[in-house]
Amino acid sequence: MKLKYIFCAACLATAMVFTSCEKDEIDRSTSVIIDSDHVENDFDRWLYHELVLPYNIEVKYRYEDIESDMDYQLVPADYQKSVQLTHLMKYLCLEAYDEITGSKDFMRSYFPKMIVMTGSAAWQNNGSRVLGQAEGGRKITLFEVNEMDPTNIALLTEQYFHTIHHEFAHILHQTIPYDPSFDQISGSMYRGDNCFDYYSNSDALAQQDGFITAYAATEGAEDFVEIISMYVTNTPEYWENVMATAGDGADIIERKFDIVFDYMNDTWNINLNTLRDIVQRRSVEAEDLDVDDLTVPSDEKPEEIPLS
Amino acid sequence: MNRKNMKYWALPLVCLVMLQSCFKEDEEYWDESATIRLENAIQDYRSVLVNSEYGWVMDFYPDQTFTEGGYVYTMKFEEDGNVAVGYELAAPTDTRTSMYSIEGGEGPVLTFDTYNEYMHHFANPSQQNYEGRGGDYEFVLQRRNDAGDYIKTLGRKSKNHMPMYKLTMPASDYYAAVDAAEAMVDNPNMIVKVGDGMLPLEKESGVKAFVTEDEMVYPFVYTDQGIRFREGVGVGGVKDSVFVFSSNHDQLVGVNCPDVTIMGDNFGFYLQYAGQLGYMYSFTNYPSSELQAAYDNMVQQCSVAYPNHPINKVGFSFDTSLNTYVLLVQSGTRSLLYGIGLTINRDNNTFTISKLETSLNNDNCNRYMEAGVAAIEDLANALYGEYAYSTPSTLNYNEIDIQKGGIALNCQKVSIN
Repeated sequence: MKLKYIFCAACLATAMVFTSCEKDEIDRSTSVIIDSDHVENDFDRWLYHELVLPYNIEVKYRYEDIESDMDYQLVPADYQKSVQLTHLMKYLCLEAYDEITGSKDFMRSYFPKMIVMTGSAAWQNNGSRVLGQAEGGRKITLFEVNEMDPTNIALLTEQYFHTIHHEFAHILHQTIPYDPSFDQISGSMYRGDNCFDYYSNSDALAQQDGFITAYAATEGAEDFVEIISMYVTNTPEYWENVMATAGDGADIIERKFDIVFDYMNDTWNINLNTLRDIVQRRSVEAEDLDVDDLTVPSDEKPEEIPLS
Repeated sequence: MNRKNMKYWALPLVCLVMLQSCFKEDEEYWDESATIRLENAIQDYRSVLVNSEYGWVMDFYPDQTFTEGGYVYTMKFEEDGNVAVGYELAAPTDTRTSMYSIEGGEGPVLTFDTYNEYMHHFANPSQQNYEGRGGDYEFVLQRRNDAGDYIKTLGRKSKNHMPMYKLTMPASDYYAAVDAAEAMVDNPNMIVKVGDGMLPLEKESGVKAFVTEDEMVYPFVYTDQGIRFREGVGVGGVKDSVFVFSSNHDQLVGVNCPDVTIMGDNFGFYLQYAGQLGYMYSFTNYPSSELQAAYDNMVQQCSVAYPNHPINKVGFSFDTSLNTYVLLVQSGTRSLLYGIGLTINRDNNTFTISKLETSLNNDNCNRYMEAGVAAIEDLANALYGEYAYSTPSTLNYNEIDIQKGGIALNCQKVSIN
């Protein structure tokens, strides 16, 4: 019997070997990827000079369905608004970190590599909207760019730069984890996706329970990055006011902040107080920024930083 | 070979037969690979789009129900990647400039990839309308004609076909012609005719879609020479989709199939519509002694009853509050309404004015009658009868001659004060 099986297997193998086909040669001379043949415009040149070469960051301001979110009905971003928001993002986020770290290396290494501008908000059928979202530390999508007012820095900070600082902080703690004892402070108080309903979308209510925002009550990691983002994008007076009005929550926020502060200081050599001063100073200066300027110095060779 | 051995040989034989493949030499249908063909198509469409002196017009259909009908868009594509877009909701000379690309997708895809107030008007979502109004801004370029003046496109989300035609005049001239065409076709009740066959169509004011009695929707756009339906319309399988005005502008005639014509439905239907919009048909003459006497008496009686409000218009209309056709006498801003019956005969394009069986019970009318303006009854009596009509154009009925027994009354469409 055994011999029979071996014989059968051998026959099968033989049959399979003989069944090989003649195949056409693969055409390796032609790429199946079709390059976009956009005509380079002033913004493209500025982006290459100001963001691609120094930071290796791509800003996608032209709508691409594969980069957009299929869950929503969206429209493209306005060209001029994209120019303005990119200027402000560079000045208030990228260069704030450049200033505290002393070079562009830090942002070049860690900042998400793709910023996608989308014109409309991502409206949901319950009347709420998404203004920004991040995917895996590689891509940040900014929505409702067409409605943005480049002179209203406070609103822009609330809408966009808060999200950018938030997402960037995620990348930092995903690169080097924070002290796990942070997650124990609020422990079972985290409420997952229910956080907004639980606190009726009110940061003030969440602060009473020791969360700096309602969203911070989602989970430990969100809590951690919300503290960083809220701390640097708001004034010292705002923070003191939160501490004064948070009741029992103030002590909890304080304990969490100590861990956050030490983590940023010890792990990344970033003093959050200094970073906040820089961001706040730049928020004032940004009002005088020429956010439409797309001149690229022709005689100056762009700074090209080799990959480390 | 005994039976046992046969099993051993049969198995590999079966395997060989079943698993064997394949010396296939498929005949190449295309000369080049899909990638190269797509790349070539993109370049071809780019050059066709850019090489139009005045740009392109697109028949744009924003949603899948088609109840809004179509909209005219114009686009002037430039080599540098910019496109100037106009649409019929804006002033004829207004455009908005943004960028476009032709990308490889499910074929060459024309995409308007930076925001354009006009191009994205029907796509822009809001809190109240989180899916926008269903408008596309990405179009699969499916094919073009050899002359390069027509491109068949498919909206990527709506899956609506939205054809593009090469403009032969500046966009602003085209919009002016479109506006003129729209003004010409001011009749919500039309009839498609093929021989003796008729298909009545209705549309709401301002909407560019006709609806049949069976609730079939025929969306269309206005063109510089007439109207263009999204799909063929006709009777008994004889159809056309592109219609131009006849030389005297009294009807629309199929371009490919001139047997299919579209004209305004019976005047009586239009009279109802005009009344709802605040118009009346004012008599400009009184071509019989009976009519003239009734009119003169009315003027006389009114000058006694209401010396400060002389009669300035007499004619027909439809009154929405009374829900009936009326004889209407205007004195100053006052209206005397006298209800009349009006029945429409589609078969021979006539209508009949008759005495209203039920009393109108109209305070306004009674008041006038009691005040002594009784000659309106004489006028009504003189008008009762069957009328044929003639008009410069059935498409709008701005002016009409109605005839009864050789007596022709000329009527002009005017606003009710």
